[in-house]
Amino acid sequence: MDIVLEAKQIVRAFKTGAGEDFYALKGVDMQVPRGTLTILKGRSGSGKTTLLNILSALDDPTSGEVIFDGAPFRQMSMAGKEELRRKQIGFVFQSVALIPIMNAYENVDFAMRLAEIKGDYRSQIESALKIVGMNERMLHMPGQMSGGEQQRIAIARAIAHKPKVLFADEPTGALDTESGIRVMKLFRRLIEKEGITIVMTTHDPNLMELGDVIYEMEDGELAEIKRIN
Amino acid sequence: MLKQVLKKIKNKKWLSLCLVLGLTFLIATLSCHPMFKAGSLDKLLNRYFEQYIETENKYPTVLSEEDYVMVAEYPNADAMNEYIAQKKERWQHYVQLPVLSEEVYYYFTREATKSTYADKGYGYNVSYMPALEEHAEILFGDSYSTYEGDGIPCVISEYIMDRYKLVVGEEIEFKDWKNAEKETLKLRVAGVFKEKESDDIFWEMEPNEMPANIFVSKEAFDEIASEYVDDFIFYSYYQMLDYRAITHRNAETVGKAMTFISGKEENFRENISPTINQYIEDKKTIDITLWVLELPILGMVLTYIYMVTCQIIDTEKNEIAMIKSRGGSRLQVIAMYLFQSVLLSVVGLVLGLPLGYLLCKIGGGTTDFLSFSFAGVQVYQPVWEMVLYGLAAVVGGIIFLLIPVIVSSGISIVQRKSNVKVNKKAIWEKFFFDVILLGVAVYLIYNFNQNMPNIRETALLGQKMDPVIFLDAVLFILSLGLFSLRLVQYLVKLIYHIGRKKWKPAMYASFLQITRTFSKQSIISVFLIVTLALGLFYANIARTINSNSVERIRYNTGADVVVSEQWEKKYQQSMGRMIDYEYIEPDFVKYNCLLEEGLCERITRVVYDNNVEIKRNTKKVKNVNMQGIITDEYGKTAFLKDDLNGEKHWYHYLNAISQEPQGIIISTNLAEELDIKVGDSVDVTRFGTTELMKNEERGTMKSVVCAIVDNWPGYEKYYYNKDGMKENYLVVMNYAMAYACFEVSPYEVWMKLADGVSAKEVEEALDAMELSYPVITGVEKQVQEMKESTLIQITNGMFTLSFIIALVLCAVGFMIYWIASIRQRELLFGVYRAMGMPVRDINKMLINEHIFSTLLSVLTGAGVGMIATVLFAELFGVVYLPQLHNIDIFLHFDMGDITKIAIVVILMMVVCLMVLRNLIKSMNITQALKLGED
Repeated sequence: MDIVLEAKQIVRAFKTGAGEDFYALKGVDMQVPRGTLTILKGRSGSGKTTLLNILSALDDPTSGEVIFDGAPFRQMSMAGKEELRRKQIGFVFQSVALIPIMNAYENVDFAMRLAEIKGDYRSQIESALKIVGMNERMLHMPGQMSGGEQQRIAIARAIAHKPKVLFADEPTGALDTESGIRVMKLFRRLIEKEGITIVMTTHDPNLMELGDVIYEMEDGELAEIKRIN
Repeated sequence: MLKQVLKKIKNKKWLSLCLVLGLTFLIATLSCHPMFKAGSLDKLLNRYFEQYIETENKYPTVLSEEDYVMVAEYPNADAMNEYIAQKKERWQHYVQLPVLSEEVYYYFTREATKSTYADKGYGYNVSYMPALEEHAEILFGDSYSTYEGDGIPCVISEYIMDRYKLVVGEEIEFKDWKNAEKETLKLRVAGVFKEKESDDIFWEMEPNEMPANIFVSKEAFDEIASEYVDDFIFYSYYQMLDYRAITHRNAETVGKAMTFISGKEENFRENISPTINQYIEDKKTIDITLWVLELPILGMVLTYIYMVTCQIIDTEKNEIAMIKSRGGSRLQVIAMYLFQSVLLSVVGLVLGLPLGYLLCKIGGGTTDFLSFSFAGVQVYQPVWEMVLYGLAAVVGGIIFLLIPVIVSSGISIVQRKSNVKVNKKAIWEKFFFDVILLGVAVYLIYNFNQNMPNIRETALLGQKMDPVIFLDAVLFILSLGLFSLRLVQYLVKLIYHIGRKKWKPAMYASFLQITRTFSKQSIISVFLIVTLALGLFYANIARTINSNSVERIRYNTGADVVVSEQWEKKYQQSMGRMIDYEYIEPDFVKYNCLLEEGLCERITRVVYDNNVEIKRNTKKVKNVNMQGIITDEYGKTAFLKDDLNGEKHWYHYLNAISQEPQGIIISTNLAEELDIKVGDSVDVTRFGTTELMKNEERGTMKSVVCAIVDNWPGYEKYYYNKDGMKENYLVVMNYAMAYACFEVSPYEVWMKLADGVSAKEVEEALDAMELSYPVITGVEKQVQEMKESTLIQITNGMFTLSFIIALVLCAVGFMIYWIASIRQRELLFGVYRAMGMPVRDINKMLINEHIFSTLLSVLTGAGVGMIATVLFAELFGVVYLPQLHNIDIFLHFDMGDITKIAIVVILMMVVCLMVLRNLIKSMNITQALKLGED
């Protein structure tokens, strides 16, 4: 099996107000196969966002190792990790976090510039917007769109530069069920058509069946509950 | 609600601090007004009274009455004392000012007298002055109270002694005054008296001014009244009031009291009304000036408050909308903010009143733009109106605070969510208010310039201030500021579009940030532009007015110090003339001690006369001003700005006459009048220098015109009298010729001070030389007097205050405001960082924003300030210095002011960037993203 992302014995401790260590992750091992939709589920406070942040190089583990496409994060400099985030990773945040001063097209354009995509990439942006079904509204500002529409733009922005892995933290959290399902279907299509690997967190049980690998987090520990062939 | 509001304030502590700062300044600026005004008016009054003392050599606040009563009604001194006491009480009832001294005397008057050693009879006033012995000293003989000889003793003044040739011991017999036994009244001169102290204010009527008064004791006076006189007792009563007790509070009441008493009592006289009337006239000017100079500061502070409130409301719009959506009424929202405003205003009031006091002391202590002397600031005392003005400021502040609240309190969460527009244009931008206002301002400037002669005339009449000129300057600055901002916006858009495809992410994001939030940010940019422009404008105008005044004084005086002594004249009978005279030149060598003591660097004599006639062929000009100079000394003593005579240095002309004994330099207007060219011959005729001899010719010199000049040390081309402006003409000749061809006549002594010596030291040395009635004109003293004049002082004070407030608001206010507004973008920075943007790039982005919003605003502000200065300097010059002068109004910038502004701005920007850098450096991406989730 082709593993694109691997976590080994990840521990993440935070200092509490009383000065004691609080363990959000207590030695997590996991593997993400290339071209799959991996779902981290669990109640809030179970540590899934912390794990996602560490897997996406947004945060450093207290101990343990993350290997991204064969390269261990430990050996990467800050700049190396930033480059990784710009070029090989896409993000969809829980808070939609579109840049409010940019319209839909410019939001995606910004990500393309960050990823240092050269040449005329206009068609690439438009096709990313088309994939999420927002090509008609690419000149609209975020403030003029609904939550679901904004989330779709966020996804277009995350995939336009063709990252290896797309991380999504509760991408459907702020959406109604129907919009949530539409986003999930979109993810499936991306995996099939673009060959992207997606790692997402959710606490919505209805979405589980759409995932290929499902991990359940509980109290900083991980239990695998479903794996595709 | 208190808890909730306190929590709100705590959450937005920096913005709340900003708001308190604004409110404090608002309250301080307004509450400083009555104190500053009161102090300035008191200073003005005091100045008038002291000027009166200086010019009239008289006490400035004297009430007096000279009249008579019947002896039958007031038979003795006590009765008269009672009569005067009643009069005093009556006047006091209206005037209510402390009486510092009273001079009163009663007298009987008689023509027919005979004295021992003089045959002729003179008229004497036999007088009694109750306080005489207290205020006089006996020069010869005895006072009447210590006299032990025969007869009724009297004392006389030196004047009476001289005038009537009386001696001590002489008897004066009053032939008409006889008692029941038919004996005539006889007085014996017991002594001669004079004032005990020459500066005793008691002597309003000095003994030497009393034409015929001789003084007897009270007993003698009573005896004369009961036994010799049966008709009138005359009296003179002078009441010296404490002029320091006349302040802005009671000046007008005192003025009214004067009119009232004058209306009731026919013989009542006073010298206060002219001063008070002048004061009332000037008071209006001062009031208008103060308000006009203050309005822009108030506008600035109010804009600042509005700006900060908008920022606060912007961060709290969601909360407001939430409260509304949960059923809270609009009134509840407003009440909450009202409560918050009141709370902050109370803090502002507590801080603002003392700050107002301090500002007033600073304003009052301003001697020049941004320079201070706190020696005379005790005249500025707190007044109760400060609290009133402070409260008015609080009300004004709260209204400004509530406007944005009232606007946003009408919006519910649903409207709010659907109303998030990023790039909404500001009203001024949408409706081109900037262009319209700029048009109005420029039209007004054009009109003022067309109308310059009228403005000059109005200013010459003493109505110094046309508020519209000031307000137009502010309008111009505001509108040009807005218009420039519009241009800056276009410029940024253009730059963005030019490199649109090439921009790296940091530039791309920052340009979009600037262009898309332009309108929202425009208020801070406008604020920055207007504050800086006003600050710079005020600095330049103040510097321009001050240095123009100083240069005019320097030019008019001609040298550092000019002294003229009164020369003695020897009169003689002369053939063909009624009386002739000859001046006796005082010793000039005595001035050498000034050189020896190192006080002066140079001294020269300048013969000065303004009764000279220049004649060419048949045409002539009279009353030409003449200077007779020793060219070498003159060149080293006098000063003239280098650029005043075209390209040639004025020494060039000095050299020209030094080589031609009969050479003269004349002024351009004289050359034009008589059609004279260099090389032409003219006749210079001098006339007598006394009133009697002013038409007597004293000699004529054939001379050659060596040079024609526009300007010359001490030559004032224009002068003003009741008929308006007139021109002076000038002729300069060699000193030797002035004496050889004409009579010896008084000269002025011109002095150039040694380095580091103050004019005061020289004046002291001159005092010690006991010159004969010297007139000393010093540049330094005149400059000081000019700067102390109320209008200049107020202008300097208010301009300095405005400048300081502008800088403080700009620096502290802008900094806190900017940082607070950046903090709101923390989530966005988190997103940028999460997407892999390095800290370095985010810094670049912020620097770019700083450059295109702050720096461009600062530069625009400086540019607008300079343009306004150039356009308005002449107008302001005419308002403050309406008299035409050899030196045209010139602009004066002080690099020091610009440096000060630059330092503050650079510091402000550096601190902003440092705070931001730390903010971004310490930012935890995951936490920043969490902010978004919340």
